[in-house]
Amino acid sequence: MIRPPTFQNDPTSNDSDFRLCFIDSGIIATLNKQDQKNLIELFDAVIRNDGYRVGKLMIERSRFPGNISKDNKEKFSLEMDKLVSDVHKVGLKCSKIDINQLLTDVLKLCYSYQIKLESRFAVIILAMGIVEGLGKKVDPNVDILASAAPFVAKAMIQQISSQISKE
Amino acid sequence: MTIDQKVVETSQTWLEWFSNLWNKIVWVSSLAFRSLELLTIYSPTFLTSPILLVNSSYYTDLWWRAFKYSISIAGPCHIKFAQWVATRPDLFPDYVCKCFSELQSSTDYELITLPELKKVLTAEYGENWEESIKLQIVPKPKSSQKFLGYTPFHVSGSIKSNEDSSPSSENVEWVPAIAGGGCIAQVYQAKALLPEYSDPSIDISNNTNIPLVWKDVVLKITHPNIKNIIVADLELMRIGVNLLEYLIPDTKHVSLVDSVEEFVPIMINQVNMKIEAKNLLRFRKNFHNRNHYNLSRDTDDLLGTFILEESILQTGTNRQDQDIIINEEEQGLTRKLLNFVEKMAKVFLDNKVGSKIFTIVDKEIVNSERSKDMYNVYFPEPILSFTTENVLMETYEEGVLIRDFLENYCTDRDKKLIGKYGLNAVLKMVFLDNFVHAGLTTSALYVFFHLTFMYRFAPWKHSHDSSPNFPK
Repeated sequence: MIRPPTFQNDPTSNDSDFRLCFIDSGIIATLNKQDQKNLIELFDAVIRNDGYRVGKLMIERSRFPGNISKDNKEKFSLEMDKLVSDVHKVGLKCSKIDINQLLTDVLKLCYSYQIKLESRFAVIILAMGIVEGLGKKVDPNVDILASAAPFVAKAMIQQISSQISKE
Repeated sequence: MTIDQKVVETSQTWLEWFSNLWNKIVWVSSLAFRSLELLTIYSPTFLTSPILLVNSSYYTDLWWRAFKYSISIAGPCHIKFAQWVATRPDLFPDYVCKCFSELQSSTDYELITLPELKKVLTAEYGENWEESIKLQIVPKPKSSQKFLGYTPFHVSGSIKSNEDSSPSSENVEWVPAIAGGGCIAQVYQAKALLPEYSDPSIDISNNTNIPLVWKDVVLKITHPNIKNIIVADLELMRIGVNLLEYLIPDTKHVSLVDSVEEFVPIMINQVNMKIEAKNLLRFRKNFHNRNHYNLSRDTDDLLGTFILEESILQTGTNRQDQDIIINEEEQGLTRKLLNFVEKMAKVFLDNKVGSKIFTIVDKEIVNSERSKDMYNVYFPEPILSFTTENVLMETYEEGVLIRDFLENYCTDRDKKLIGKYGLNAVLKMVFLDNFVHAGLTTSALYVFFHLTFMYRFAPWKHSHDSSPNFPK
């Protein structure tokens, strides 16, 4: 098999006819340990169709959880529950759900209840928006939740294992 | 201590004091100058802002459009800030986000002349840089032609290396070949003298036997003076926002001050090319791209020394950076422990999804050695020996923008593969590496086109229009 001439030294270029190349790495987003844990828990809750817990987690991890009234917390969680279960009814496929709209809805919901997300947290939620853009243009039948599931699970394993190795 | 020494010392402290004072004067006056400039740019929109009180969608729309225009000419900081605002519908009202999301950084590149560029490189690399770097040059395009992204290679037939630039019979002006650019930096094509092949078992600094050859690279050079403009703008932004919050306490719930504080490190990091190089190396490590030019037994070594150097150079606070400590805890973990943990985790996730996940996870862990099947993602390699705060040298990557690819060359199988690689890569960045390419998010919500993925052609496909024609 012929290999691209510029990458003769690169063992990863062997058997596929192309690779994606990311350029412009000037800005990166990274979460601190606690935020990363939160994110994984959040996605775990989404994958398990537990929208109420999603709402609660989001409030807990927002910037000023003390400012939100108990009543509003309850309402917010219930609305999140509805959003998440709607998603689970059809699967998180671009052909079935407008994921940008979904993300915007979630962020708008946060805005209307004055829940301010930690910014880097929001950045990463928005990264999922990219995934959607990719999906829509490229392969609308990819179920994003199903694709994310192994990653979330592996991330949970990593976290548990790092805890164990510390103890 | 003799009197002479004392005199020398006091005169030195005086000198220091004066130079400090002078720096402060320069700083304050440049702030003042910049604020005057900004005042001129923004005053028309600010003065007409009462129009927003008129309850007419036509006029408010017009005003927002004018405001957007003011921002677009005010400079990179303002553009980026507005773009960032657009991605945060949780902090700002919806109509503001919508309005700003259409704001794009200008893609009209100023053509820098060859002598100017050479001057910049001399300042960065010293007098002898031409021994190891050759700039690529092209005939100056007509004004109607625009360079967009990484796709100017359709004109590749006429690209020459600068040693052939003897005045030709035609009266063409030669300019550096641009490979892309934005409001922060410009990317030029070049060739650099680099080791021909790599052997990870040899430490390159000790071994001079590896012959050097000319390799294609790109030089990403920050616009001259951009750093001063950005630092001044950020300072003014800080002052302005604090003033606004002080004068109109109602604006507190928009948390502009917090937003600016969050925005500052993002902006400052972006101007420093060393940070970008560091990010690239980190990404390459995460995605198992092998390094050719930055040879060291351990990438961590390399990153370590580079970061150390960095921390000495850097004075400002760098919130984004604090978390970038390479965490290798999980690597030391044996396979046995991992199995045990998996079983434990299975107990935690005792539902259908859980068990389904873990069969996949098992496979994934086994396959992780051959990660190319999962991701097949590549990052250009920065060449640290030629990277400074203002110039980033990275390997030249041949390809087309994913937008062009999807429109013109793509088969269904390709599309599926791109989807798989891209999705897996982003998921890996988010969940496993905690190191996400966030440049992608600036236009995340609306345009897929602005993603800077590149597609890599196989040479036997479309080779006629993808390879730039460098002289042998």
